[in-house]
Amino acid sequence: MGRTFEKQFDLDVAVLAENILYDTADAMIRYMESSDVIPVDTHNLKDSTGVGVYIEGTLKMFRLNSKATVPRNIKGVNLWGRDLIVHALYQGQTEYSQGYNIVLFSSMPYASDQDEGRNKGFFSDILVDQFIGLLDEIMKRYAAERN
Amino acid sequence: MLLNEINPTDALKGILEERVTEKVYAGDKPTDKLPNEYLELFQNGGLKTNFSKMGIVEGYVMISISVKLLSTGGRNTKKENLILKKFDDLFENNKIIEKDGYVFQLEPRNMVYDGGGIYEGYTTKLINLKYNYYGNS
Repeated sequence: MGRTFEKQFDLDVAVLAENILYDTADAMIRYMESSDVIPVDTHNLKDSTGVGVYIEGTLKMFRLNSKATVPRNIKGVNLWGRDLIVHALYQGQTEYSQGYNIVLFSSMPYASDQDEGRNKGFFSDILVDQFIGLLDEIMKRYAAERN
Repeated sequence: MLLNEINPTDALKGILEERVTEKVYAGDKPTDKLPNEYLELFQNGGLKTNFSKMGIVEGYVMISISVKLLSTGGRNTKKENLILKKFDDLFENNKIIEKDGYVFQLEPRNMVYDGGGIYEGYTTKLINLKYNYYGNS
């Protein structure tokens, strides 16, 4: 009896944690889609900015903006983030193999240039702060808090 | 049994090739001349050994379903739904599918992604299947 209750409690906590992460991922994508916060040129930077939810290394949810119709061409190579899925799955098996993880990512190689140059701090400060703010807000809705 | 001998994507490829007409890739997708619709299989996450219940090894396989956009640039929802229907039929009522010591079933929240932006000119659905491996003996 005790063990059954304990198991059910663990399952309930797992579902709660999943719901919080899924809702946060959706909210973050809505934020990025509804605002012009991401520098838009060919839309590829916006396209390649997304959110992944990993549970024990398994990619459980993946959200992307998808508005690009023209590939970004850098030094003669068209970039569509076509290895995005392979990369995202690899990250799960390596960096996010333990516990519950929600990851804001940008797969375009020039994203870091943007962050350090023309749009300084755009990813590392502005988007990350917004992301954490949304996570906290959604956790409150579930009567939970980040430690 | 050696863990590096476990290859759920090949087993699932065998199952799907008997049941769907679309091309199925498992690590052998060409870089060009892709068909208008195709499936691709990936190991999703690591293997978990579980000796006390539900088989010896468990893990996830992700199925990517890609459908070429219409000439107008719009989604070919008719074709997408036709392919999804095949999966619904395959795993109807939480049915499990077995082959070569593997048991596959759909995750309750199985849709990881549904949209464009992953492969040029295609829409993509990503679906998680859970598997248990009991050994092939």
